[in-house]
Amino acid sequence: MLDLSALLGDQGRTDEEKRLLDEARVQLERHRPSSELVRTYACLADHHSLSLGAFQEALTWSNKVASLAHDLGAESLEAEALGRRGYARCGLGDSGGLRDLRVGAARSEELKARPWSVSASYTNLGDWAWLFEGPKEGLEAKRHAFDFSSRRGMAGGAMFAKAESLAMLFDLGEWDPILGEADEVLAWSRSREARSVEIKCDARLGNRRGAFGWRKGSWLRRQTWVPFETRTRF
Amino acid sequence: MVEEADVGAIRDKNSVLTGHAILAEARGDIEKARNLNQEAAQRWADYGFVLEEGQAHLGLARCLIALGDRDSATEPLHKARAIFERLGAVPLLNDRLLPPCGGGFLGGVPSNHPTYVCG
Repeated sequence: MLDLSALLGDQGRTDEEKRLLDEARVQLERHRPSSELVRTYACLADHHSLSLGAFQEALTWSNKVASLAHDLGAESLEAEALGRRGYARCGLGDSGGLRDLRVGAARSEELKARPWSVSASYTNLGDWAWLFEGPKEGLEAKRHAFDFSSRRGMAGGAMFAKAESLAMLFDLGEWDPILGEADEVLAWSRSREARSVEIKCDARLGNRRGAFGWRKGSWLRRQTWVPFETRTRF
Repeated sequence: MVEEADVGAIRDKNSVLTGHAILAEARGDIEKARNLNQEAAQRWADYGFVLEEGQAHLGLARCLIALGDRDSATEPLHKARAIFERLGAVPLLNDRLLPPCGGGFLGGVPSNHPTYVCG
């Protein structure tokens, strides 16, 4: 049910995703608390954070994950929960969430949690570190996610992190490497029909090309990713 | 939207500040825009967004020129040009306010330069 709900979420069918998660939760709560229930709470936290942007609810679910994982002695799940809590706190504008994200990511790696989860933890840390601290800090986390994913053969995670890091390179003024890195990501994503990575990359690339006045890049920028500070000067 | 923005992250706060500067300039409140651009340039520099730092320097220079303080505009204009050159941001380097590379017009806008019109 959790796998199916994740698939529905990926397809944007969030109502069905939520219905399935609730069904799984109700069934599991009838039994003794288990790691499956922890994962269900975790999926609910992710659903509220990632699908709905409802960070207060995501925080509530994340705290439930952390509490139950702690009670069960499931250290890696508890570490993952810390990352989720940090993500939700940051979403609520609380910079203290960054510490949760950092500790959660480091702890997940140390405990050898699920590799995809470790990669996602650093990728998420990069997003919020970028916004709360600066592009240098964001890039550091994204590169960690890239390196970690690459070492474990997770090309998808690596390329996703690299696509997202283009925005940080753009901020830092490191524009020359952007096109080369973007070409690498685009070639990979197109060869595997990884559309989400391609969109990420196109959007970030649009920034660079837009700044150079390239028509195609400007179009992509408008179509796919319009940060607040993107504005027309008078 | 800018007036009502309630943001927590530094990047967003800086973006709102820049938004206020742009609006102030567009509304003709040039002194306010000058102060806001000055603050924005510093904040973007601290944060590390190079392009926005350059834009804020350019905005500051525009406001200073509009206020008749051309001498003071020279420094932010040169800072803006240096940033845009390093980035290779060609469209921005073509801004009519920026001094030409190598030559420059230290001390103010050249006499043959188009009259600056705010907004």
